[in-house]
Amino acid sequence: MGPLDKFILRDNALSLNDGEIQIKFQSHWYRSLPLSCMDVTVTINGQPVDESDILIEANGNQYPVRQMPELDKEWLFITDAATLHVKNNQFLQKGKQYEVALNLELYIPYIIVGKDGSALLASSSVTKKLICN
Amino acid sequence: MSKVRDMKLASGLEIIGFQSLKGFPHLADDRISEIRGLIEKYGFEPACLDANVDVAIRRDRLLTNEETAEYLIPQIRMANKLGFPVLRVQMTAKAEVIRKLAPLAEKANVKLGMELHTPYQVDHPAVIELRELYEEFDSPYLGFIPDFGTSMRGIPEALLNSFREAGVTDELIVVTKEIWRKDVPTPAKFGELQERASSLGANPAQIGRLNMAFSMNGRQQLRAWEEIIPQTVHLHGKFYGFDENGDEPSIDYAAILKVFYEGGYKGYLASEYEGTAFTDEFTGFEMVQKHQALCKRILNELEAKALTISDV
Repeated sequence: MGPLDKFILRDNALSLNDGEIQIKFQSHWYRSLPLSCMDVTVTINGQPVDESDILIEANGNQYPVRQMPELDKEWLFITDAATLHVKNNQFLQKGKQYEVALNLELYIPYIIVGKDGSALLASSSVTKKLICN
Repeated sequence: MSKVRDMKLASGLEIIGFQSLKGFPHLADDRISEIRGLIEKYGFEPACLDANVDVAIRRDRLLTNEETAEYLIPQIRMANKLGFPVLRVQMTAKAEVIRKLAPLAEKANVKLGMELHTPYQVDHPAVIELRELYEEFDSPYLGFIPDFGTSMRGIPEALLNSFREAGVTDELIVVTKEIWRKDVPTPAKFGELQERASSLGANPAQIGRLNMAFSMNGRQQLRAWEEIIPQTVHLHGKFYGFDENGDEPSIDYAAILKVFYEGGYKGYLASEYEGTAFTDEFTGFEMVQKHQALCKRILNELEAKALTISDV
């Protein structure tokens, strides 16, 4: 949690394209990290989105979010956004407002804090009412 | 860079590769020319490029020493290509990694500056091991970058405020301060905090946040820096905020600068504002301006005093 949290979900973060929900997010760390150093979960109007329904896109490449821990070569540059692609199981509609909550956990790969070699956890949660574009 | 020049803040440039350069450390030749062109256009002298030693980049295990060296090779080469004389490296690179990289650093004409960021005090066992390696190599290409956050006099108010914003109770802040003041190694502090914070009902995100009190704020004695001044290739002048007199309440600048000045250090001092991690109340530009005013005031006093002594 910190001042960069305001960049995680911007006002235009939520959209509906080809019947698919898209949620754009940015990282809250001061330098770029690869997707392997991130965990992301999301809820819409309080309903958790099933992990198996989400793909993550960075630099034009898409992967199941489950695969993120393996993606140590796919970097998210600090001024770029990643996009979550979600099946529209909740029947969102363009022009309506929804409450999106995104939890972004960053594992800082050069700060080792645990005796077991685990990385520092820098976690942020943002909840925002967004108009679906 | 343009604004720094307009404000006459500095002529030396330090950048973090993974922050400022998309695609770092693999950049095409035309981008390298573009970056060098900008440095020249704004009249900067490249002072230091910051590498990152991301040993936990995989989630299943840490990188081996061999893999860590491989991870750093393109970063050393990029420092050379961009014209930076020093590459900041981090203590996640063990002495064995530096041993592997020393020949390349010399060949690339890039000094490896090991950042001594808390908890890595000059007498930390891993730093001692590195100092032994430096002694063995006796090379100008292996040096240190002391970070003033290693030798602080208090936890910055901006950080404590950020704990409160994360829902940490005043009781737990008192506990965190108490653990911070203990003369025990940092891992022991993480452990004690984990235990005591959990029993006080803190969640993992809050404990992660509180860990920053120890991961960012060290308590090394200032004079201990004297031991490594001859190997110091760059300085990180860390700061978090200023009081109404322009002093940094959490870092004793007058005392630290005296140690490095009297120890004969002649290189760059970077203005490293880290308050942005906790508050956006101030801009980096205005804070760097205050930092430089403070450092100039102290250095002018030291200089005047030295002249008086040499007159005698």
